[in-house]
Amino acid sequence: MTVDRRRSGATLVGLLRHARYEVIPTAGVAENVLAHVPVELTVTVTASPAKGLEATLELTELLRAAGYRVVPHLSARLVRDGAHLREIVDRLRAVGVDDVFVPAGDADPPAGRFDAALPLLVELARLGEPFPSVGIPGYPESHPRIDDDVTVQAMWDKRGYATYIVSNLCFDARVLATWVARVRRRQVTLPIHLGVAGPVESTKLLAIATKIGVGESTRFLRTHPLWLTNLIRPGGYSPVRLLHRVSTLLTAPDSGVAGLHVYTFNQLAETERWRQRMLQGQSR
Amino acid sequence: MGQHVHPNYPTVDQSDRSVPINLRQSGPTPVEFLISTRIRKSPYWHLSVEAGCWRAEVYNRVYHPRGYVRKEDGGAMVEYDSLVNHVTMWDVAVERQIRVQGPDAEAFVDFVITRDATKIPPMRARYVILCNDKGGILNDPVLLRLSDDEFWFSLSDSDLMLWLQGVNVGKRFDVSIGEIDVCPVQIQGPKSIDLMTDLIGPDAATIPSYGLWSGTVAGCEVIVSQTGFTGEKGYEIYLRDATLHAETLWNAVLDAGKRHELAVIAPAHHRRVAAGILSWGQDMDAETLPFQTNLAYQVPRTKAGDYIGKGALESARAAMEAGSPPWTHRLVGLVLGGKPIDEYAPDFWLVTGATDDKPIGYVTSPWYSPELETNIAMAFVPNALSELGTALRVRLPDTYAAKPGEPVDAEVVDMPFRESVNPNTRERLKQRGLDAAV
Repeated sequence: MTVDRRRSGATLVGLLRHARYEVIPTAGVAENVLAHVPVELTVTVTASPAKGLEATLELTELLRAAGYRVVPHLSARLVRDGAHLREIVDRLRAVGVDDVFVPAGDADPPAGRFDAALPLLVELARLGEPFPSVGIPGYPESHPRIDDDVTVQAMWDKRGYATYIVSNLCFDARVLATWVARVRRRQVTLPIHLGVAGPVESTKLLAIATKIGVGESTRFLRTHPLWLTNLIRPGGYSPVRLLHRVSTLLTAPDSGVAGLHVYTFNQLAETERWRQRMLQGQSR
Repeated sequence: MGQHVHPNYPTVDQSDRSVPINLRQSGPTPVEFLISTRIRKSPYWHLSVEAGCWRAEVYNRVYHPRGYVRKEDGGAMVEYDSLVNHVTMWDVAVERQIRVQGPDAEAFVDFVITRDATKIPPMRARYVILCNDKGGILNDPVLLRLSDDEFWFSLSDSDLMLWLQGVNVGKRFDVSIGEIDVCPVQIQGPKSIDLMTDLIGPDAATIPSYGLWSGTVAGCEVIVSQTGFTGEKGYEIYLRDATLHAETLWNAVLDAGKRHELAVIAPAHHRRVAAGILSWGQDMDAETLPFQTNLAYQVPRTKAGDYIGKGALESARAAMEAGSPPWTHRLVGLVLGGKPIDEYAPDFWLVTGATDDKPIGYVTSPWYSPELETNIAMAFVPNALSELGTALRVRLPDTYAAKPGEPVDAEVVDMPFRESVNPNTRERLKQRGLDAAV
């Protein structure tokens, strides 16, 4: 027991020390990041159909100027064409971005011919692979009982164009562990950043969801109403509990878990406070 | 002495059909398959035989390989393993291509299919159905649109060329209609994207679902689509001038496939059943209306153009929605008990009620699904017993029955049994709460 706790604690500490925080580009979020997020952490910036990529790029530039490592989300369905993609690439490289995350996104209809992530990834490769790190999404909650499901195939198709996977929101440790095992059995060997929600205050979450309309993580929540219920119920969700339950997964070398991706829902003060307490060995 | 029952089981109400389905349970009936000049060998046939083909059937008057791995070596389930874990090539030259070309090609195609041909962009394909004037399904081809004025119908097993030429015998449309020397192979399985990338380059990763690509493989002109008769990732390579180039293409695929564990297999009906993909002649025929199956979405509610069958189909839908469908049975998905069904069914096995022994329906396409760990099937059952969750039983032959002579339990379930890597239009519409293509 002591050995287990020490080992999982050490692993958690390591992952938490280098956690990536996902933020949603809203008014005021930049100040929020500067006020509460240590500059050594990586910040990932989502994209929303309502705001378009411009808000993502602007926030990326601002945070890069402030010294953060930033991973913008390049939603394929928000990119108009090859010229637009080249513009985006040039702009991001100009401010030193070396890592991007490429989901399909939700824009309907798509802004141009990239209706899925894979064609955009192929186009990035044609541009000479301008970003050393490229992330793609993984969906642990899809079909936990079926091996050859849609989303595992999607990761297989993209594996030649990406360098890591970020798993989408999941609150069930067993589902998460099963998913990682299935991905590995399919010989998808990309490192995985496990996506977990930080501690979330329900009123702020609902306010954010209303304000931004549609965003990747909140859209996902809206399509899983039970999760939202659990998330906003007092005592319903604890990231500490989830992380402890997946500690075996985190420590197993063949799981290939390389990091934690924290869905903050822009509640950065609360998230950072939680992380600091975890680093100091406290649990909540 | 038990009550005499006619061998075609009249307790299965087929009063809505002119020619009843033959329900005699005569079993595999060992008979030698005759190879003669009356049935066509495709340009790939000898190559399939070299690859191990030991069993075939006739499809569009062409020999169709239907078994490569012998039963004693594991049979169809070994081929299935290659399909769901690696990559496979299938000789599907039987998918004959009927080309409609000319200034009125779009208008003609729009008149013969139920979906709206004017909404199909060039270099895209669509799964479509064609109906007769009574609304019966004549064929369910993949329709390829190569340009504004060129369409290819990639046929299922009925003589659509005669129908299409017949429709235009009065020369109402300025088009030419004929079979062309194009033979497809299917490349199916999770590693198909890797094999296709080796064959045609990074473009393989950018072909959308039901998209088309024009180019060459090993110097041979081809059209490639991301389509297939499974729910797995897959493509079809349509070889032009197949009579000239069959060996070149086949060998190029085999060579490129070595490093991806390519196997040559027969069409994997176990996977297409799991994906809810129908087979014309098994799950439907010219007397089946689309509303009896999972093809209702193929009948638009708002297609502006007239098309063959429109009146009958709209009347049938109205009757269905008023609660009086003009058919006795609907095609449903079943999960059923029994030993794993690992071979093709030689008969339409009988469906009975949960508590009595009277045959009331029949199974069209049964298979065992290793992923779902159960037998699955498509079956026609009475309208009143077609709701999800309905308990039924199926009379399986002793080979597969849990106890010889006793029907196995079955339950009506939704189709598809397993989702497809590229969900089809019906599945995408369902996710959006819609029931018909727009």
